[in-house]
Amino acid sequence: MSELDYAEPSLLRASEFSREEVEAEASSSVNYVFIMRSNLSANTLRYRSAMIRKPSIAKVGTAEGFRGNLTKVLPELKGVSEKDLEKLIGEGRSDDLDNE
Amino acid sequence: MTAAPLVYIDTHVLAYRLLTSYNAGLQSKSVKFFKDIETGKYRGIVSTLTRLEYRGVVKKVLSNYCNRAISAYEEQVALDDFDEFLENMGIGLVDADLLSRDSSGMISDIIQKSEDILIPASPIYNPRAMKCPWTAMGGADALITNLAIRCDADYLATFDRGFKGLNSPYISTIIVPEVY
Repeated sequence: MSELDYAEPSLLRASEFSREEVEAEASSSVNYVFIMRSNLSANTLRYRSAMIRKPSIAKVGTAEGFRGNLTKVLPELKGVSEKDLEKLIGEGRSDDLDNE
Repeated sequence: MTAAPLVYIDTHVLAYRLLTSYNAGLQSKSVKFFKDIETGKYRGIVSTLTRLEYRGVVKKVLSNYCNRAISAYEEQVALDDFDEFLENMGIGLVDADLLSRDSSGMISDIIQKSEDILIPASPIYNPRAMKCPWTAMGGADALITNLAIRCDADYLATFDRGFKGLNSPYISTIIVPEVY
């Protein structure tokens, strides 16, 4: 195996993977893909080196099913209306400026 | 067969999903978005800056709900929920500090390069905003867009309509409250 095969742990650009490859990787116990290619873009190299945890096909949770522990610790949050939620969270950072 | 598109998820999309119940309007839009992550239509990615912003949202929102400063323990529970949700949904996490550097890895250039995002961005008229109907991407929005591009994300998903003014050949937006 060449030296390049032992390059930094990383994930290649999303479009370089097929769905089958991503699923296979997600189901494996290997945390990162150990492949180096010489023609990667600067962005891809940045992405590779910055990866803490790879994106993968969800295996455990569901979008609707996740509950977390926050409302167990703060049960009063269950009664908060959506209107109050929207008022506090807003759409994004610019809302914070508008509310000053 | 190509992989599903990669989507960089803005902080407020996670806040609507993870803070309190999620049965009504805006929360359900966030749930529907994450359903597309769950089913593999998209793959999700966030950065350590997303997590930092989420901590700030948690401090403000929960303290307002409780009408008191939340405890360090309560804040940590909210952040643990955030981490657990990312893990369960298969959403990736990248180090924003490393993404802030240039291709040599030696110099941070993300602020300078974010100007290239903000200059061509257009102000947007938002009739929902009563006091200030004209909205626009801010400096922090440009920074986040640049992080998303450096993740090689195909889309940036957000609740913030200011991102509708984004004009970039490198990334597109998903305005969650309008798409879902």
